[in-house]
Amino acid sequence: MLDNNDDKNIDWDKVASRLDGDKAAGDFTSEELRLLAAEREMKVRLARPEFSEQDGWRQFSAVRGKRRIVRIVRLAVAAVVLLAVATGVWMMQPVRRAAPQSEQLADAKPSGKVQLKMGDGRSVELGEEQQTIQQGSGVQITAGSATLAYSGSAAKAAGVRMDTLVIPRGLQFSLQLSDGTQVWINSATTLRYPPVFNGATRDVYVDGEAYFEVKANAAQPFIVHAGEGQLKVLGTAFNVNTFGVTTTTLTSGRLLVAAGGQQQQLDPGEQTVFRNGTLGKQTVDTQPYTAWKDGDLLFYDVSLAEITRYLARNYDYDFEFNDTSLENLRFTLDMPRPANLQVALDVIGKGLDIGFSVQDKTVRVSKAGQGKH
Amino acid sequence: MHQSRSGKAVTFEEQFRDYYVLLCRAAYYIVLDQDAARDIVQDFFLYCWNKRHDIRITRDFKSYALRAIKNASLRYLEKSGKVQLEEIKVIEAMSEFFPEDDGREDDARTAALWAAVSRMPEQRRKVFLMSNQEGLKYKDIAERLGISINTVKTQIKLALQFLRKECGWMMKLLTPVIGLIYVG
Repeated sequence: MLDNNDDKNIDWDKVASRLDGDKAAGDFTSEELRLLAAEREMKVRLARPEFSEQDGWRQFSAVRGKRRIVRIVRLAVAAVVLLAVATGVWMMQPVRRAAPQSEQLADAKPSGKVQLKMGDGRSVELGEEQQTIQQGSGVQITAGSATLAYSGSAAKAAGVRMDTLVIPRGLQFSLQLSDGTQVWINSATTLRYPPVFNGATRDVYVDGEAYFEVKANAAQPFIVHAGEGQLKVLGTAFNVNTFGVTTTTLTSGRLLVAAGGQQQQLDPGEQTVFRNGTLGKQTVDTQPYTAWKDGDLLFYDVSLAEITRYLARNYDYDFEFNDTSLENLRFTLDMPRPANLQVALDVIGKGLDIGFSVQDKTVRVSKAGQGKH
Repeated sequence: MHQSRSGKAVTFEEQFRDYYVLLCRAAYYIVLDQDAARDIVQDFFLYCWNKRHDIRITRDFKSYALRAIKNASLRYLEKSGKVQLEEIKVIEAMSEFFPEDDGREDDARTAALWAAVSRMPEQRRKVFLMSNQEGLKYKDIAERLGISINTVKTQIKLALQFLRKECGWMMKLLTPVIGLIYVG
């Protein structure tokens, strides 16, 4: 039964304005929201033309027909694939190879080199040799093949020119900034930062994926600019990833994430995702997001498409799928990152019963028994 | 294989025909755009078709499909950028209650709503249907009927007040959920 006293909780004018698309009309009482919900239900019930299953099926059949050709092949391995899909497959042991000698292995070294582009215009390629680079009088950089450390004092360094570190596909890098902050940089990532922090804030820019352990300094906040967002650090270790949707995962400390005019404060074990203009927050197991900086390959029940996208960046190989349905297979992978991609491919191939064939820097993914030379 | 509620295997087409309209209505409830609703449902069935050998639905198909359709519809709304996040949350909460479980009951309710609509004075009914069925703005309704926007708005308010009394069943159940979101 309806209680007529509810009427006094309804501003009919406001509701009518909202129904006409007036976004300013907001802040509804629960009565008003019930009314809006009911109104929505009326719209559905009064909808014209009604939805017709006849038309729907006709249209569906037409569209489906176009895609049918791709899906004619059905294999006996379906049962195995199903098992992998339903449960994920946990593989920890490397798989012994029994491949013919003629087959190419995915064991090529990445082709790119780490580049340091300095604010003064110089550009240095980082190779095997350790080198020391002097910037002006105040800053000294010690560079190895996979590490870089800045030392210097703000007093002596002039200007606000930024250095840029470019990590190509296939390589990972670790950097110590002049304030002592440690940054792990994943493949295909660019990091921009000043040689010394002499502004009111410590600003760095990430395009790609990086893990930060920030040296606390309340007087000079640390701000990471990544994707469309800004991360204001309140003493912290966290991972930021701008491949696809910008994802920030906090492992310790506190973090303020701002993007698209929205703001979220993160506690450890929380993550923000900036998607379609919305900054959402969720609680996650942080391990899969940070395992890379500890030298692991860790994926829990992740699609093959996503895993191969990561491997492509991480090993400087391209993947091609013969059958796009394979992209949706899900897999759990947990192993130390091998030096050669081939080792990881063997584990995945065995687990999902799929084949990888390698040609130069391209890996072709197909159902087992297909696509081999 | 696809399972009907009784556990009997049904063909893909049967399943499509059984649920198409229901799913379109569920999508429409959220996106309020008929073409978008049809696209969302079609995409869902294409997904099912492509995956028909790889996925098994262990719960019954209807609840799985409704969940998938609602999620896809909410994502569509989010992407469209036309609706604010707060409102999407409200719509999401409301969508828990529509459509309701019993199909026959559902038809009876639609009939009851139409009966109530037909009992309204002619101009009010016209205005109400132009707004809710054709999706016209108040301004356009005013122009078409040669009346003022204020009159349109008044008629809408009166129609809502009337239908709220006549179709009280549409109002039930929502309070706890909405309350949770806004208070909690």
